[in-house]
Amino acid sequence: MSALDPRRVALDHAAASSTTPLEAAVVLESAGITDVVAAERFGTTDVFALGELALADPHRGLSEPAARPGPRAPHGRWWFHTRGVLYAIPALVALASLPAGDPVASGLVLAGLLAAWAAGYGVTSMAWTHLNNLDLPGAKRFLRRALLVGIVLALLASSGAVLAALVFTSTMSVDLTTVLLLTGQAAYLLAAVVLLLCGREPWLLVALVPAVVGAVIALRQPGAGPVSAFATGVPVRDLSWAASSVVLAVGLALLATRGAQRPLVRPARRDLAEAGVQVGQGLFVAVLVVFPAIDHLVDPGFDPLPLSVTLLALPLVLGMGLAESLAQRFRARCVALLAEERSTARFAVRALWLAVRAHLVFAGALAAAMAGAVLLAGSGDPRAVLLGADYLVLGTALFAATLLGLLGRGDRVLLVLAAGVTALAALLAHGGHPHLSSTTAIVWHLGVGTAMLLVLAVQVRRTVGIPVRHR
Amino acid sequence: MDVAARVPGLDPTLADALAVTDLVEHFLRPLQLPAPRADLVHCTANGPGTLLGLLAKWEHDTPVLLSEHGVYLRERLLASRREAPSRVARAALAGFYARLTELGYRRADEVLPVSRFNARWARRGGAEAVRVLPNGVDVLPTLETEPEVPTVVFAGRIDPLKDLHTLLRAFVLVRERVPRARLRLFGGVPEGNEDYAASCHALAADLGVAAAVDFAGPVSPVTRAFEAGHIVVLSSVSEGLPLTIIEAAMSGRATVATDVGGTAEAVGPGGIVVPAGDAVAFADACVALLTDRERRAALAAKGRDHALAHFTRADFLSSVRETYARHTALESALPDARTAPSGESSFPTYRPGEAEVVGDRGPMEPALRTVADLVGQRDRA
Repeated sequence: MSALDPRRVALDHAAASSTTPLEAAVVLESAGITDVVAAERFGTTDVFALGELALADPHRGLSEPAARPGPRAPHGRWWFHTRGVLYAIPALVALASLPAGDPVASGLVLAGLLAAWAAGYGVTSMAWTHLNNLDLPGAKRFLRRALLVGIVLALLASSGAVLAALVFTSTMSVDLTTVLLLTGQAAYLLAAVVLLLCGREPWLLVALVPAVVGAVIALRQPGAGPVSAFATGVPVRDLSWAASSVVLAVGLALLATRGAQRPLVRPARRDLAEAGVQVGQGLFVAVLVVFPAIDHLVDPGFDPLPLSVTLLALPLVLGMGLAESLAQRFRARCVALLAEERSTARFAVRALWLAVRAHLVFAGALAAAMAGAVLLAGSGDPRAVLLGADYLVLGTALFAATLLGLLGRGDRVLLVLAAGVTALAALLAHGGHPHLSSTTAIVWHLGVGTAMLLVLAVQVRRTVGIPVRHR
Repeated sequence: MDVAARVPGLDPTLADALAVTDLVEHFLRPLQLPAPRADLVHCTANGPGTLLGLLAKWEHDTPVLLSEHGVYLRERLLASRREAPSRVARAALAGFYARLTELGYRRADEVLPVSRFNARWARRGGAEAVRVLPNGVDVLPTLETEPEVPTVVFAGRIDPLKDLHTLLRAFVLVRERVPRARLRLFGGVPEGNEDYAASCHALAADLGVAAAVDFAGPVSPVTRAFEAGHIVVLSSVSEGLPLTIIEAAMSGRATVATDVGGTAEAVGPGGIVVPAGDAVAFADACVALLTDRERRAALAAKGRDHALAHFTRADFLSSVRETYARHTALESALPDARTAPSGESSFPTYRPGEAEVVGDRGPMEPALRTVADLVGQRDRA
């Protein structure tokens, strides 16, 4: 039997490429070796015995097939950093352009923001259900429908809310413009969700150009400096630039969802439940971040800081891009660690260190950005420093929540966020409406953030070392 | 993972463990379903589907039959060579598949492989009550005419298990000796096999035979495919009991096939069997039959006799009825079940492969509920 005998070659191939005798037997059969051939040419009783013989040599050469490339990210990590900018630009535009002066109008805008923010979380969750099934056309179909239905619902809800405000309150400051503003706000947020999920960050950046131009023009007008969206006495600015951005974002979102098709698998009930959890998370996160504005609305006698509290939240909004990037890198490093480690104990230690390092990097970057914002806002006011520290702690807590969500503990995150919102609500419900401008209110907000951070840190500590949580 | 850890040169990591547990969890999901209530569960493949039948056995003492067309373990081992994320995962999954199928083989009341080849896998897996129950096909009229141009026909799905690359390479050798020869491939491309189909087209072009190869797509009835050729071929690397070969033989066509699974049993004296993956031997067999009309006709006649003797639908139905009756209380209600050679009298509405229900509707209603039916109901719910 020569070395080039095809049966001998098949046996060598089976030995080199198989992991178990049964697998070797299958390889041999597929190469045409039957029980008869095994008996006549190799002297074994059958192919199964020949498979065992093939793998009996402990020094056989193992030919490892070339590693298959993993799924390629649709775009580079660089764009994750830009997401912070994408989140912050609308906030800056709002600072410069939003109408103000009436608590009811401002309240409606704020409520609309919370609702649209929460809806964005839910839409993202459902879209990921399709994407996790490797069903991009199905995800696009869902996103397109969610965008269109969301805009219609926002229009109906904002019309109803404005009508109710006119009927049940004494305000005369809400009108069709308020309806358009509310609808546009929801439309923009949903369109942004669509574009980000489709990996179209540059398109969203392009869509924001008109709004930025409009904001710059508005700020260059005599006597028009940065103001709080909810400060009194500020006239409604020209919203046509912002409206152009909204229309452009919606148009690009529809363009990005071309090729939509019926989903391969209908979402299950548990997917809807998960989306519900995400809606809750989005709502709670929004309340926690914009709590200063809510507090201001509740207390009409608010004594504003030299610069809007909203401006101090901007570093946190900007930092969310970095948070996504760090979370992605943390996940990638943990996956690499899993492929490298054979001991769960060592993995737990190294994964914990990765988590700690990610938190430190995020907190450091946020602290630097916050220090700049505090200086800009007016370092002379100790409340601004305190509020900066407040947002630093809250931001780090939200980063911990992001990692915990990645580790599959969204349920715990929801509970912690709900507890935090409840604590803030308790403050508002407390007699006398102590508002955030007071040191007491800021300290309370800081205390809630600190408690959340501690609880979430403990949860991350307990979860990050469990390998199965990194699937 | 213990299996993987015992393989020399393999060093399982946590990532391997997670990848394997992910897959194992998917395979065991049928255990989350409620145990079906039926008079008998007939599992038509080993593996996860059989778990549902075993649930019925464990909870309601329902008799379970297991018949296999292809050998599930064998096909999973082949698939894991293509799909498993790593060698360690492959080794671990091989161990899991072996234990999973052993469970089915050992716990089933009777294992009914379609061929002797399958039966040896079942016995190796621990099956004790094993009886070969070959598939049956309708008796087909003999094809009297042949096309003018020497034509080789393949009828089956476009699938890597059919090893069409070897068939194309063999056809190049056939063309060297029978220059006018054509190859016609009838069959659809299942979802997920598009790349393989494209590779077949590309290979035909690379080999310079694209003009002589016709990817004709699905055809119905299949006899139209047989009509289009002088011989019917099958180049598979894995088969259970290929119906294509049996139907071709029943139609009066000589066959050339690879010696895998129960193919040799199906071909019998009606054709030539060659080693799998051997393009030269495959080509030699094709040329021998294409160029020798008398031999081709003789083999075709023997093949038809073989098919009529072993693979008729009537015999198959009779065996199934007898088996069902033997394992259920319906035996007393159907006293002629053991002896009824054919016909529809015992189970008036029975048609093989269809889901049927008895029990609450009484013994004269359609007989049995299959696992596939129950799973389908759960999915629809």
